Amino acid sequence: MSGTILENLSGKKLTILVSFLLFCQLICFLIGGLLAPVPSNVQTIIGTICKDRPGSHNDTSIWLYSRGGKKCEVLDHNEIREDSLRMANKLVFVFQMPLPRGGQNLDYSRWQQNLIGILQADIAYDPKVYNNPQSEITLDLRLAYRNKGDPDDEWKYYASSLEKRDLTCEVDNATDKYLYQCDTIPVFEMGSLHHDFYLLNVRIPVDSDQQMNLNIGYIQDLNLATIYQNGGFTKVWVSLKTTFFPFIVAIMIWFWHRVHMLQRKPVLLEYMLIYLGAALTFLNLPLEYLTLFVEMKFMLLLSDVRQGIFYAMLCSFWLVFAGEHMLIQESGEKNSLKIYWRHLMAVVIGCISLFLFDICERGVQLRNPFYSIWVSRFGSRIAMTFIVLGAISAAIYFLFLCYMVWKVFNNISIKRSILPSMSKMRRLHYEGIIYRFKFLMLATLLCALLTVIGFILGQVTDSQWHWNDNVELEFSSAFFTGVYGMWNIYIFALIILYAPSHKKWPANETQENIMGEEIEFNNLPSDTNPSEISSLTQFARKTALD
Amino acid sequence: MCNKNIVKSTQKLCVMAEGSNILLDPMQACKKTRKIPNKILDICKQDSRNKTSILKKITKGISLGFRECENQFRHRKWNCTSQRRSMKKILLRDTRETAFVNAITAAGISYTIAKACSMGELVECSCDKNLVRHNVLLNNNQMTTFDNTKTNIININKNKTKKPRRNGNNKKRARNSNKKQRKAPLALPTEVPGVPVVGENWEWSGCDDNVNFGNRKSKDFLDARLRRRSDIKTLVKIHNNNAGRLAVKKSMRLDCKCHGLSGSCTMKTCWMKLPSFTEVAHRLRDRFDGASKVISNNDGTNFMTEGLSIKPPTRQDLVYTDESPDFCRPNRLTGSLGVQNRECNITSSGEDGCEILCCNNGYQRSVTFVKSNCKCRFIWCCDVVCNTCLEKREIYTCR
Repeated sequence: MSGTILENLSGKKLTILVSFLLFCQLICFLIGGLLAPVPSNVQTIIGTICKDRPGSHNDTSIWLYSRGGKKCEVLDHNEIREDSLRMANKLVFVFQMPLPRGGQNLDYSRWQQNLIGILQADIAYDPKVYNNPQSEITLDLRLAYRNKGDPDDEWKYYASSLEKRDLTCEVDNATDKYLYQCDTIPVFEMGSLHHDFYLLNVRIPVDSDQQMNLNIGYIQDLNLATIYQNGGFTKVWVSLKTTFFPFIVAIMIWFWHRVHMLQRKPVLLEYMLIYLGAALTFLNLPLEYLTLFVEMKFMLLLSDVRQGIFYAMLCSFWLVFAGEHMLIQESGEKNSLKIYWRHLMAVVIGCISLFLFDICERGVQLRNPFYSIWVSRFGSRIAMTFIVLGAISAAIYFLFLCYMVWKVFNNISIKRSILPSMSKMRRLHYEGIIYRFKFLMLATLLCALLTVIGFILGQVTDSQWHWNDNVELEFSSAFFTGVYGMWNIYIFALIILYAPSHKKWPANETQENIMGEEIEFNNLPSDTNPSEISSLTQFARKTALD
Repeated sequence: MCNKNIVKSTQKLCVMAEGSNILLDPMQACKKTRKIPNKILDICKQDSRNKTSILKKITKGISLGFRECENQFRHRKWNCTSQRRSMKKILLRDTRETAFVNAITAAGISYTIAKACSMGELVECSCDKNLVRHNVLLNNNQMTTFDNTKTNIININKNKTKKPRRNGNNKKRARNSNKKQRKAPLALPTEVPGVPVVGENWEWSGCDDNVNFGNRKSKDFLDARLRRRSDIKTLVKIHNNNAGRLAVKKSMRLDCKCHGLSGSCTMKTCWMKLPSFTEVAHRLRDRFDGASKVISNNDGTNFMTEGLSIKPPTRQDLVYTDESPDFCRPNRLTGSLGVQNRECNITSSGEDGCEILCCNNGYQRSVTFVKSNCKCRFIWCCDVVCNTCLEKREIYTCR
């Protein structure tokens, strides 16, 4: 018994396997492109301006809403403009989500997963009031929810907060009554969309002592853009996960079973493969089904963490994979992850810093959905530190990986130069290993490249591609499902191809040859660096010795 | 005012008067004096059923258009007065001013309906994305051909090609319920999709969020009656209405938000924000200044600029056929009110300056004092203390 399946698979079988996997990849891409809608959609809501009720500034049980029975007293722009104080402290901007459409009162579906709210202020141009383009706005934000079947006025408290946000505005054409072009203000991020209706009440308190909202001008309108994940996309996405999940679990069990059938203990690369499979399984686990029944506010954070773990594992795997193909191995001793601690430092630091950033942003949002780390100067500095740290470790990791891959290729070329001095059997074997190693490198590069190209295309081009009048390809969805499917298939292929093969080597002859050649190698003058013996050779030797 | 017994030669004028009156009296569109086109009937029907109706919003939109027109032209000789008598005369003709009024009211309707949709005041706003894109395509065709039968054919073809895709989509969407499958294609040919489809659409791919619904209703209301005719006045009017609606679309602004992994831009969503109506009106006022005079071409199906060297008007440009009357002196026939007692700007040398605005008739100065609140102190919640200031204002008016 010897080697991995990759080494022993015939070219024909490999081609069949690869083309089958490529076909699956295409299917994944097309499922996203043809079946799924865009991943997320927007509903922009213009706030209805209502007259505030007395006592509401410290009573969060008062809810003003614009549709349904006992709705609030709606004010007209003209009424407000006629008031010399523009009714400061007497107005509430009311956003009742979602908006009715097609003659129906729509409600949020739990398939829509999450909701992000972004405010935009329409501030009337006034040369007297406003002259600095950067100022601070204080918002009294309150969120409530209601479910189908509840009475119209039964809004229940969800969250509230007094938030400060930077307001950056500029005016393009200085004509009267023009609006300032104000930047968007992020207001809330909800990780779950458990209830049917939501209500946002926004007050803009003006206070002279606290210098609150004194010089921001007259806010005519507030626009709220609500971004939700499309239910259709969630359905396609979750079905994809549900499909991949059993396959990956099955292949992992098969792999582990095969490894344990050998007399030796599993080697590091096999451990890494199993870890990688586990990380992918965790990512594949269709936890989204639970959100249909239970309120899980932490879904945004969890999906970040899941993706983070997976990508960290993938990066570590590549490092170890490259390292295992060139490091010296103490004969008989199996490698452990400890040897790679220096190599993996970059991955670990990068992941921890990004995780901390996520905890600071989305973790805090679990308690206060209005929170954003970018708002305060201190917070944004911390966030920036984490992100820069993450970026630096990513750069270091990438450079290091390139260096290692370059070394492996160096190794291979050295092996090549001494190939003719080997016996025919051995040469063929080496050529096969080199060819397949390169093949796998190529596959990895191709996957990474496709991801990057897809990402750039998604940023640059229109989201929809038209083949002809009837076929439209939703590119952004296709990108997501395509990339997701790609990494699943990639790891699926890795686990299969790197599973130990049960094929027998051609009897004694080989064993002698191997022994002979190993000695030869070590004595060769060109082979000054002992680490340049590929781990595959090690692999072969060890198993051959068994 | 239009008698049915009127002789044929004056019928055109009569028709125009009625068309214009839609703007001055929108409710008249639903009065059953003559055959009402189906699309307008739709709007009227919705009126009787719902409290917050499209027709009410249309009325509001028209008055928004008039108000903004007044605002844009308050410093010009023609101040777009909302006085019925004058406006009626302006609308009867086919001048630059008429073009602007038509464009801005069409834009006003679009804008008000789009805004009402965004505020949740109208429940009948559409949801289906494909339908909207499909209709925009159709509108473009109508714009270039003005040929009703032709567009109808396109319409039918489009419906046919669209059907199987939606059907297939639905099949995948609701694999286990045959009922839904049957309903969807039935609902397609009508404008408002059937009730179950809306909810399904909303959950599957969300609802679209733009001015297209407003534009469609504005078109239905203003152009449905005109579409069958192809005389130069009708063509010009349809063109200007379209230009007005296009101005709303073109002044929308794009904003985006990244919300991917840890808030990165792996996932990005963009949307269009409705501008202030003043911005739309300002855009149209620029088109007013650059409006081009057109004449009918030989076969009467389209119009062209008078001189060959003049660039043909784009879809966003305003066009007119008659020269503007003199607005310096009051004239009951043209609807001009004259410039007497108009406020002018003493420091300006432009069109709002006292020399030009008053047609060199001279001006007079008056001083008024205006009381206003100032130096206010706010205490949150609910207390305000203000001083009262007297502000001196100098006003110049034309003699």
